[in-house]
Amino acid sequence: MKKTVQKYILGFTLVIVFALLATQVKWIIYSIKFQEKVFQKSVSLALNQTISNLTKNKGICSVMQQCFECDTVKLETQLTSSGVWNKIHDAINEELRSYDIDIDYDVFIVETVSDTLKSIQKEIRKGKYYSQCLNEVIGKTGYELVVRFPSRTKFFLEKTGLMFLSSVVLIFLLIASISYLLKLYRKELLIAEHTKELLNNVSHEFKTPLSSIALASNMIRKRRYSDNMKLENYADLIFNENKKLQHLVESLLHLAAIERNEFDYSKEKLNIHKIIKDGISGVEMILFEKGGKISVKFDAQQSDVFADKLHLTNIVVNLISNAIKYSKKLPIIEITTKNIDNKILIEVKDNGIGIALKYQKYIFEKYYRVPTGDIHNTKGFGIGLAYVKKVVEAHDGKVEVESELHKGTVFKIWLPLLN
Amino acid sequence: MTENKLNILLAEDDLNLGFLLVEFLESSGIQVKLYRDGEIAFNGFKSGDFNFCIFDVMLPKMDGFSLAKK
Repeated sequence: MKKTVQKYILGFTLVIVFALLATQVKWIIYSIKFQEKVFQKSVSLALNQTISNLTKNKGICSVMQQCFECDTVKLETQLTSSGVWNKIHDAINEELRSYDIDIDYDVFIVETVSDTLKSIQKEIRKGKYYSQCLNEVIGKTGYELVVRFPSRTKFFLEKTGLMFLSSVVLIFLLIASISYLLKLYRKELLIAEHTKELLNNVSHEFKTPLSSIALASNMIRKRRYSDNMKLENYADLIFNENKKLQHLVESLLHLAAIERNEFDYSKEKLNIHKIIKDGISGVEMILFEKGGKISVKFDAQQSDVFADKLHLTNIVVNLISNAIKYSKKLPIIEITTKNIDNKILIEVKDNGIGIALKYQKYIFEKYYRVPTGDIHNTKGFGIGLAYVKKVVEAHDGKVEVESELHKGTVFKIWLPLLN
Repeated sequence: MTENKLNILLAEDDLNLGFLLVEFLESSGIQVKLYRDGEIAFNGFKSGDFNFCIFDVMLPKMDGFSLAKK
């Protein structure tokens, strides 16, 4: 998929997520308002029912009527002492509970003509107070029964807060999983790209020896040789190219083993310095051809490790071959060792083309090859460093790279020492 | 260089294949000049007179595409 299409899909997904978020917020606000309306309706129904119940109770009505005959200042005392106030409370309580409203409330009786009521009326309009006319109970006008819920806001928050919180958490999880999927997708895309490149490289690597064999055998078949010397040359060539092909197949099998994580490590006591020397002798021919130089500086006093000989030698060869391969001038390679804590540090330093900082984090990935633009002059499958990392980590070690473009690269390998 | 012979520039870094191609083409009566890397091939191209060129894509110093463009 093209990058622009990817960007559009990403943008589209983000828009959907934000639209979802907006819808969710709108629903939550709507739900709060709805809850408030239901609450208001329930309270007014409960108060209505309370008044109706009180009106039916003739005993309470007569006591209240008597109380309301006297001085309004003493009204509350009178109501309390006569026990009516408690009964009013009980009646309200019972009704509110029947509407599932189980929160603290204050009850008071106010004169509709008094100044105190004016301020309360404003609040009633705001929905903080709920009132009901007392006319039918006390037999005269001008008094209202008022109920107030101090913990009303908390009650709503408790009811909707959980919903709000869960929505936020769910949306957050959604965003997180989308970004994770996107990351995975990009990784897959990169792997696909690398695999394509690998196939190109593999086919090119196979084509050259195959063409040579085809040509040489054709020359022999058509007897286009002047003497036996030439004939021998062609035969040698076919033999050597065949060897190259075998080596390529081995590399591919090796790659398949990396792919499947199938490696057998037969670990034994090994001396790193000897392994390095073995590795160097394995690449001496290529180095000689390129006219390069290799120097060693073994500072490590302790150099015994518990490791697999074949794989460890391979990684040394890999690193030196890379140093030779990725240099434009005469390769000068330095290999040093030193002990740090309980480990041995092996450094392979070259004066090659270096690796730009932005590519350094990818170089240990399978099939990754540092882009060189249109220059297709270095052969390889992009598996060497992935293999190095795998082997080093299988030995409880770590590998790092330090590099500067056009100046050179240092590969550092830490391996635990044999106790 | 004889006038009636085709003259080809060949850039191939694999020596075996290069050598074989030269032998094969020469045995077919074509004159071939073989170069091992892109830069030498470019210099050879400037100094010679060729009917056409054959480049390998993966070449040291300068790849086949860049060489063709140049």
